[in-house]
Amino acid sequence: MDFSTQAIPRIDPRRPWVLGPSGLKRIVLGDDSGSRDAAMLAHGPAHKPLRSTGPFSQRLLVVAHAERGQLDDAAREAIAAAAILAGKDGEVLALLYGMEDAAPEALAELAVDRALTVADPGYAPEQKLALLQQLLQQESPHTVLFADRGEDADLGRRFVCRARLSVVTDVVEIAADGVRRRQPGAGFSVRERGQVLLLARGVAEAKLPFVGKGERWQTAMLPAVREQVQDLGSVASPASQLALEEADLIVSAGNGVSNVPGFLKLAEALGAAVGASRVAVDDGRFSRDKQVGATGKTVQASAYIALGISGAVQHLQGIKSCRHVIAVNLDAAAPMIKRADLSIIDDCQSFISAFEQLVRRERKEKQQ
Amino acid sequence: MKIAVLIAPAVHPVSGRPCAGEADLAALALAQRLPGQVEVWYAGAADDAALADYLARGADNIHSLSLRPDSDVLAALGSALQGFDMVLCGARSGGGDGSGLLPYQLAEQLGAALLPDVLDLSKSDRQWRALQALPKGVRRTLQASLPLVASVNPRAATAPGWSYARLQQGKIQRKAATGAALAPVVLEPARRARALVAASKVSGHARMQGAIAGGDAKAAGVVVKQGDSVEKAQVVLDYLRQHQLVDF
Repeated sequence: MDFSTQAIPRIDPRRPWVLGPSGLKRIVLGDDSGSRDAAMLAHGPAHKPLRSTGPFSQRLLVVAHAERGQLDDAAREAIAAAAILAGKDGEVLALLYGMEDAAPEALAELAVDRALTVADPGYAPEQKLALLQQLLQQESPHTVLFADRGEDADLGRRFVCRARLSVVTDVVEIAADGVRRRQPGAGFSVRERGQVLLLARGVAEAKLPFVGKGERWQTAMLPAVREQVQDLGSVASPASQLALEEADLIVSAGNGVSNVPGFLKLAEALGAAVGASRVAVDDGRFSRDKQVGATGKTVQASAYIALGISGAVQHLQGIKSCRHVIAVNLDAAAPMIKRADLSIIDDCQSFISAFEQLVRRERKEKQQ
Repeated sequence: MKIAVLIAPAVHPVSGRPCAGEADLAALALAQRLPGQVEVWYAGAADDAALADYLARGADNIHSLSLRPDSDVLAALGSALQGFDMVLCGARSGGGDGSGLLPYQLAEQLGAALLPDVLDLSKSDRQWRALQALPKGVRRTLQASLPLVASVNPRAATAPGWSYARLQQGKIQRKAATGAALAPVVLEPARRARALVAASKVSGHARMQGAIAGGDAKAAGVVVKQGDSVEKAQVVLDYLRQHQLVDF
């Protein structure tokens, strides 16, 4: 049978399609525009729909302090909680300190609809309170959310006491029947949802399937209010003198580091606290109080440099809340490489000496 | 100078029995280091046995305002502490609500300056300087004039050890007080908390793709294999500088 003479109706298995507003694939028959390469697109930047186009009839306000221009996980979770609670007619407002440089896309990615960014003035609780009270009057949000840690927790507590609002602190779960918090010695306690919620870690999943509008309101100035308490400046003691749990910069050694004096010299040059994996501690190269991981210490450094650590699960548990992890390892398939934000495939001994020399040279140049 | 130290029994994490709270003990020890007359105050429904630990660890006389179990201590404490120059308490009580709100409420009510999470207090001229503990080892010096309310970090000072003699000599003076009724609270046994998760409307195909690719943004770390050690060291330093993790 000769097939070439007949026109065989063929259906292109990779017909062009477009993503509908609901996020579902939509095929328009006969149309040759649209996306064709489904497999490639799935690995590319994901297209997220807008959470709500408005019009908005109510508002939620999230207040967060950024550290070095970035929000940490607790603040992201607070914004995510607001976006999930908002519903179709709720707008997510954010008052962000120290994020003046954030791009609208970054704000949209956080699921913020409208953001007021303010340069972080450092210690200024009275000014921040005055701005918050202005916002409370202008926008009348039905719920104000803070992350219950660090500066946000402090500002939130000051705010509820000043504005006399109902509050629930350390919220671990927001449900339909109320909010739950941990009660010392008595499990959970269930309360009505207050006007202000201070959220503990893990109250919401920070990864969201939608984006916000990401509009920037104007960049506001803090009102000039006299502070009751004067700030005389703060000192950050060098990380090498701190307990591991408190240190902001940690260099950690594993089995791949054989030259311990060289490693310690690097830590000293960098001004970093010294950590170690269990193997290195069991070998006697480091004392037990340096051990990072499930059986050692859980650290919260902004930067964690893992030298010659393969990254056992127990070790990764200990560095779960580190923001930036840099791994140096000979084995490119080690689990630590998967966790790390920057991985260097190199021998630790030569890397340590090169890095130490570089750090010393750069420090010297900075001082001159 | 009159200093008030606020204490409250904490729940022992293992036995569940009332004991002295670490931060409150630190507040007591810090107050006893300062020049001035120290009074120890408690407001709430706890009985004498729950406060005994504080007597044994350095408080010689406790003023206790007895309230009904479900009433707010703020009004009673606010009026009792009216004449004090300095109020010290633990940053967070280990019992009751443990919400950490009391120092903030008291400072607001007394019109006093608030110094949260204090490690040390010292006098300079007419003002007081406080060393405040911030996360990641940062210490901030704050200056305020009296009256002030300070919440004390558990690491600020160490109270003396438990002593039977002090327990026997110490006294608890009770006084009845009233407070506004608190909203009723329902207690539940602890379980794993459920996180809020946004309802997602992605297709099954997209979910499977996500499962294959890992889906996590964390998976997209940069791996550097090229170059010698010096170049790689430069890459690490550039990364640290780009994220403002080093100061040189």
